[in-house]
Amino acid sequence: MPLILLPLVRFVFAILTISFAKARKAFAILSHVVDAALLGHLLMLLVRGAPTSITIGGAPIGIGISMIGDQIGLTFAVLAWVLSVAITSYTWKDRLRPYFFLLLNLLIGACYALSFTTDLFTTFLLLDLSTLVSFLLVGYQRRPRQIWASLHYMILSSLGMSVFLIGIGVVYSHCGCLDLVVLESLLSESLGEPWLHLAGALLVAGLAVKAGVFTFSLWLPSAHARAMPAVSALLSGLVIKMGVVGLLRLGFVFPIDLPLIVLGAITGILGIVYALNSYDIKRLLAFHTLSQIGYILIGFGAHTEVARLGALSYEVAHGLFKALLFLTIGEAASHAGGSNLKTLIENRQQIPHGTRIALMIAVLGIIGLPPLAGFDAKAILEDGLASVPLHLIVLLISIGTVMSFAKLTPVLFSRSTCKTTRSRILSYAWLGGGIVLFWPLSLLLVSPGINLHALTAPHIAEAFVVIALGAALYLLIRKKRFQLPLEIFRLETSPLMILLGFFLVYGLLAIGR
Amino acid sequence: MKRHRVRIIAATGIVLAFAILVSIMHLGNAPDPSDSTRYLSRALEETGASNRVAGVYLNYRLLDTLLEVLVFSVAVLGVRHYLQQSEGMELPDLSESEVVRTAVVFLSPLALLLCAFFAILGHISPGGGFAAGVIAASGLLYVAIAHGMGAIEAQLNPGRMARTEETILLALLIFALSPIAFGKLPLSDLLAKGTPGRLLSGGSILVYNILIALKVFVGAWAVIAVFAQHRGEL
Amino acid sequence: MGGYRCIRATPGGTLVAAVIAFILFGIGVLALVLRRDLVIKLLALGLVNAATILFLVSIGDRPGAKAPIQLPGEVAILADPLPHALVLSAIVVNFAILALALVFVMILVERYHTTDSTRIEQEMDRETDEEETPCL
Repeated sequence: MPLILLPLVRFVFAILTISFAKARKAFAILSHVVDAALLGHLLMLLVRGAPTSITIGGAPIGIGISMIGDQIGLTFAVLAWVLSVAITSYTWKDRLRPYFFLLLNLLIGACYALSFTTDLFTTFLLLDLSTLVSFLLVGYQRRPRQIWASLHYMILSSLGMSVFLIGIGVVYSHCGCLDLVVLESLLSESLGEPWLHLAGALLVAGLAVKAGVFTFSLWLPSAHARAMPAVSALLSGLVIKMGVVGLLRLGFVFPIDLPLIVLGAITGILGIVYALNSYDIKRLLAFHTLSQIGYILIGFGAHTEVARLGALSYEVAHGLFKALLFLTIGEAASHAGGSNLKTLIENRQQIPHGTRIALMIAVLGIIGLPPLAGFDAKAILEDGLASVPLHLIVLLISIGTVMSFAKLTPVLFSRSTCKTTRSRILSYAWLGGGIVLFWPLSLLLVSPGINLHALTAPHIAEAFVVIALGAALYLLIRKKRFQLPLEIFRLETSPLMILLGFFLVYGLLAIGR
Repeated sequence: MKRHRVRIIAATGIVLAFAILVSIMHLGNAPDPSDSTRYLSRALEETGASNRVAGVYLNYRLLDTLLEVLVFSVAVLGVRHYLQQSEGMELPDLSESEVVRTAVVFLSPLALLLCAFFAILGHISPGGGFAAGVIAASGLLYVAIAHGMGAIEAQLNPGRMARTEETILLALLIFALSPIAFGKLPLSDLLAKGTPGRLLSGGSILVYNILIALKVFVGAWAVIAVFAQHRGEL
Repeated sequence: MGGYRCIRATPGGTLVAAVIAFILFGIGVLALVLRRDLVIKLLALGLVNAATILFLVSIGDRPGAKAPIQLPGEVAILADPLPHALVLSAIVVNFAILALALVFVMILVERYHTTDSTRIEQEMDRETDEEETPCL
C-alpha cells in the first residue's frame, strides 16, 4: 500500500500546490515528511526480509499492474527523495511561479512510481510523463536555446518511446502479458527465439534514449547544459536514472548482459573524450553524466551480485555529486557572469565561499578520492568485475574523469568576497554530507563484509594512482585542442544514431546466443 | 551537393534496413488461433462492463488511465504557461453569417448531447470519457465561432475554468485513490457490478467516465481559448 | 496462469497490417531526418506515432474477430481488448507531446521568422549568450 501511496500523494500535493499557491512552502515541507515516513516504512519491511509487492486494485498478477518494493526500487526512490529535498531547499528563496513546483512534484511522483513498477506499459506512460515535465522545465525561462534544446529532446524522446512501444507490441503478441515478473518465468524456455532478440533490442533502444547512453541520448548535452541549474541537477541526478532502472529490470528477463557492457563502455569512453574538449562547464558536466552512466551499465551487465550492488551504490553516489556539481556551478556562474571556463577563472573571486567548498567536495567525490562517495561505490563495483578488460575500461574512464576535471583547479583555490544564502547552504550541506558520509550510510543497504573490503589498501592505492595519472596527463595535453564530430548532436542526424544504436544492440543480442 | 546526396542514401538505407528487419523478425512459431487471452476470457465477469476495452482501461489498468489524464493536464498547463498573455487582449467580436448562427442553434446542443451519451454509456457501447470531452469542447467551439469569444468569456471566465479543472483533477485522483491504494474497499464497490448491458453496471466505470469527460472538456476548451487569445481571432 | 505458452496470435491479417505499419514508420523517420521544415518534422513524428499505434492494434486481431464490445448472450469471436486500451493511452500521450512541441515551434518561428531548422540553428549560433533574451 505505501508503494502506490508514494506517487499518488505526490501527485495530490502537486495539484494542491497550484490550487493554493500561498501555502506552497508548507505543502513542500509536509510532502517531504510524508514521503520520508512512507519510505522509512518500506525500508523497514525490506530489511526484515519481506519486500512488499502489490498488484493495483487487487487484480491477479499478470493482468493488473504490479509494483515491487525491492532493493532496486528503494534505492532509486530514496535517491529521488534526497534530491527533491535538495532542490526544494535550493529554490526556497527563488521567485518561481507555482507552475514550476507543480512540475517538480509531478516529476518526483513519476520517479517514485518508476522505481517500483514492473509493468512495461506503465513504464512507458511514466517515462512519457517525466519527459513531458522535463521538457517544460528545461524550457521554463523561455530562452531560445532552451526551447530549441527541449524541442530536440522531445522529438528524440518521442521516437524512442515509439520504438519502445513497438517492442511492447512484439512482447505482448507472443506472450499475452506485460508484467516483467511474470515474463521472467514465461520467457525462460524461449530464450533463443529470433523475436525475443528483436523485442529485447527494441525495448533496450527505447529505454536507452532516456537513460543517457551515448548513441541514443544525443539530446542530453544541449538540454542539460542549457537548463536552469536546479533543473539540470534534477535531470542529471535523477531523471536519467529512470531509464537505467528500466534497463536493470529488463536485464532480469532478457539476455542483455553483453549489449549493456558494450553500451556502457562506448558511452563511458566517448563521454570522456567529448568532455575533455568542452570548455563550457555545464556542457562538460552533461558529458560527464553520459560517461558515468557507463560505469552503471557495465556494473549491471557483469551480472554478479557484487557488481550489481556496486552499480546501485554508484548511481546513488553519482546522483549526489552530479546534483551538487550542477547546483554549485549554477550559482558560481550566476555570480561570475557566465559558465564558460575563462569567465569563471577571471571572476573567480566573486564566487561565494560556501559554494566553493561545496564545489570542491563534489569534484573530489567524482574523481574518486577515498573515502568519499565515488571511491566507495567504484571500489565495490570493481570487486564484482571478474574480467580484466572490464577493469581496464573502468580505469580508463576514471583517469579521463580526473583529466577533464583538472581544468577546474584554478576556480577551486582562491579567495572569496561574498557569502552564500542560507537556504542554498542547507542544500549544499545536505548533498555534501551525503557524499562525505557515504561509506557509513551505505551500510544500510550493503552488507558490512563487502563494504569493509572496499576500504582496503589495493583500492586506495589504485584511487591515488588514478588521480596522479589523470593530473599528469592533463598537464601534458593542456595546450592541445582537437576536432571532434559535433554534427551528430544536430537534429538531422540524431534520429539516425538511435536506429544505428538499435542495430548494434540487435547484433549483439543475435550473436550472443 | 554530393554530401547531401550521401546523406539521403545513408538515411534511406538505415531506415529501410530497420523496417525490413522488424517486419521479418517479429513473427514467431505456428500459432494457435483458438487460444484466447486472459483479458478476453475474464473481463466480462470480473468487471461487469460489456465494453471490454472500458473494462480493461478503467478497472485493471486504472493507474495507466490516471497517468494519461495527468499527461493531458500537464499539456494544457504547459500551453497556458507559454501562450497566455497577462493582460486580456481585446478580442474582436466576430459574429459569422446568419447561416452559421442558425446552424449552431441545433449543432451545439447536439454535440453536448453526444458528449453526455458517450460519457454515460461508455461502459456499454463504444465511446468513453475522452471522446466525450473532445466532442463537448468542439460543441462549445461552434458557439464561439457563431457568437464570438466575448460571449463565452462573459459566462466562463478563464480563472474560474482553471479552478474547476484543478478541482475535477483532484476529485478524480482521490476517487481513484481508494481502489488503487487499498484494494477492493467500500468506495470502489460503491456502485455494484450489476448485469452487463444495463445502465448501472460495470461498477465505478460510470463515474470515471463522467469525471474524465468533464476534465477533458475543460482542458480542451482551455487550450482552444488560449490559442484564440494568442492569435487574436478564431 | 499455469500452462500459458508464448505463441503468436494470428497469421495473415496481422502480418499485412504490421508490414504496412513498419513501412509508414520508416517513411516517418525518413521525413523527420531529411526535411528541414520544423512543422514537417512534427508531422513526420505524428506519422511515426500513428504507425506504432497501427501495429499495436493489429496485434489483437483474430481470424473473424469483431470489436470487443458484446452483450452476454451473443456469441461471436472478439478481438483482444488490451491493445485497444494501450492505444487509447498512447494516443492521448502522443497528442500531448505533439501539442506542446507545436507550441514550442510557434515560439521559435515568432522569434526567428523562419521554419527552417538549419537556418534557426545558424541564427542561434550567431547570438552570443549575453544577447539571449527570453522569447515572448
